[in-house]
Amino acid sequence: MPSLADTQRGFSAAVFASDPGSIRPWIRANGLSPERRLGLYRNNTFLGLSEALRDGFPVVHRLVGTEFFDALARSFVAEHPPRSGCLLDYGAEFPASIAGSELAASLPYLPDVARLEWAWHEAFHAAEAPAFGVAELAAVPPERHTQLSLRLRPSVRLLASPWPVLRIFHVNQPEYSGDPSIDLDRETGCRVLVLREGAEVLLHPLSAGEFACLERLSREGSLETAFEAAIRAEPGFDLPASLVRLMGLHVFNHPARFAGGALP
Amino acid sequence: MAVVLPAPCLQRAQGTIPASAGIGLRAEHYHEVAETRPTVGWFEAHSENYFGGGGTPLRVLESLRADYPVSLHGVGMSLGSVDPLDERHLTRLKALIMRIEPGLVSEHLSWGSYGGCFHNDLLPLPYTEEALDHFVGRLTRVQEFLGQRLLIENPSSYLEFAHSSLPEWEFLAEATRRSGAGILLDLNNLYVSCRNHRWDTHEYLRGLAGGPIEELHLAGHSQRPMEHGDLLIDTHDGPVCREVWALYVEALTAFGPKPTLIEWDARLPPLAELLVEARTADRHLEARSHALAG
Amino acid sequence: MTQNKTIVTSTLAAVVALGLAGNAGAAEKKADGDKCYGIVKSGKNDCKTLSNACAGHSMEDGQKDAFLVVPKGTCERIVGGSLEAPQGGK
Repeated sequence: MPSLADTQRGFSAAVFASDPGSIRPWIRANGLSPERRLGLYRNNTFLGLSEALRDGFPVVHRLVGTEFFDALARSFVAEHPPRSGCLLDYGAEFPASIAGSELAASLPYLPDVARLEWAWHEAFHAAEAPAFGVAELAAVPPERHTQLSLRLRPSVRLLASPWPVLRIFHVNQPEYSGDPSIDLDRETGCRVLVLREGAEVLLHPLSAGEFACLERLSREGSLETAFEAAIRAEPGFDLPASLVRLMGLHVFNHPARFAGGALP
Repeated sequence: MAVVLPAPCLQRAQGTIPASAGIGLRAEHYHEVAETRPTVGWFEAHSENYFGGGGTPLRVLESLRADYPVSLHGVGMSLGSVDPLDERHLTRLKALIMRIEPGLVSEHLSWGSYGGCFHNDLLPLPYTEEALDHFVGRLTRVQEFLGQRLLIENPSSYLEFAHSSLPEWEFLAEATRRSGAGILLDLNNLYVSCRNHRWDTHEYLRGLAGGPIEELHLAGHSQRPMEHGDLLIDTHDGPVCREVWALYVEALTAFGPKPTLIEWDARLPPLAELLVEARTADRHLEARSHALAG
Repeated sequence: MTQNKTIVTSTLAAVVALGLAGNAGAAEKKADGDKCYGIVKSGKNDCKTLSNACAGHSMEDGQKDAFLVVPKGTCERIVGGSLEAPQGGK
């Protein structure tokens, strides 16, 4: 008689590895073959996870159609079964899986569209946090500015792509009524800021300098390294004006942190 | 359509789930529920859909909690698995419990992961003494960690293990007796499994007599022709069928009026149609209460 | 004070001056990005069984025909570009 562990190992092998061998003798036929019974569970897992991916990546789905999407999803599920019992976590590696898939090689922008959708998903579920804007900065005494360190709000995600994925995303929304044509010879890449404002996930294009600045801050960089990176990335970059714009978009987290000291 | 919600409210409805009909909170209904505040006894939410740090789902749930009791129903704990308990999962559930203050918290008599890979499904256990000991141990540890009694729901299943030595109802009764947990009896699952495995529904209900039944679930299922007769599939995509309503009456007679959930997950109808099903359940509950009073 | 610190103090002073002078007003009032998309995202975790799960002989992998599948969607409206990444972006 198989132990509980043997039973679960055999069942999992039937579902994920199409190998019902070890568990089949321990399933009652009772009018329907063990293979058909296991097949139902296998189908439910693969179809259910594909459905979850369609939910999380609606633009990729729309771009390639259901049959092709399901082929991508199926190979992803086989290679990357969920590692958590919460489906909100499922799909983080899907963009990389698309990038590595020969199936999608003729659609080189598809992995970055998927990355943008995963960023959207993460922003949608991210924690709330109050914003640090110009008014909050004005309340900090100037002599403490050098001790200030700015961090991004939990919903902020950054994405740079050599493809016009922001436009691709935009023209593939159900409510978009214009011409969805995109000419890759005429449209260039983009840098995108993703963040949630209240209930809404917003997407904003970023300049090279803005992107470099936020990217440094997202990696816990100091203000000086972030500012220097911004100026290096974009000649003639208007740093103060861009920071005012970014603060207006509520990119930064409040309370801002200080090197060795309480908040003013 | 964007969901517009009032600011978070510190006042809350009392938390106890009443012995009346509730409905499942589904994302497709967020807007209508937030706007119309329908007349219904309580809401049940799938815990894992609120495991994010913030955003619309949690806002909707918190805002509803101001006006209704809420039950949290988990689908991903994999209680019967031989894998180690998923601490992150339990930590997220505990945080959600503290945030929402639910009247009931439930999970399934099932497993869902092996070797860290999750099936996204409620898989049947072999009903053996070994599995029973394992399940009781896990359930006890989870209840201690959460500081919360759980209700355990019977699953729908499509296969039986030859090495099972206990009927499902006996396993469920014994697991909850030994762990101090309660029973969430899903009458649709009971019907689906009994039909699929040729068990006797009356024997199942009799086997739970005197047990800690704290909540009932009702849902729709589908029937699929297979080589040797039909297989019932727990699709949650339609109204409760006549046979399950009959089982409901039988269960109310056996166990008394209990909080009753109308579950509907696929091919979701307009909210109004769900509320009609809930009113049908309420009429049965009232009839049973009157019979007890008289 | 080092050169590095100068960039911080001068920039933040300029941000405060610029922001409080009202230039921030427009940005503070309304973010100029794209509007919201699909706010009501469907929940994923549930406990149903899919109605089509019992169809077909599903112990097969289903992958052997994958290379015959071609994309059929709005990607047909994306034209031009070679397989090499264009300039710009990163």
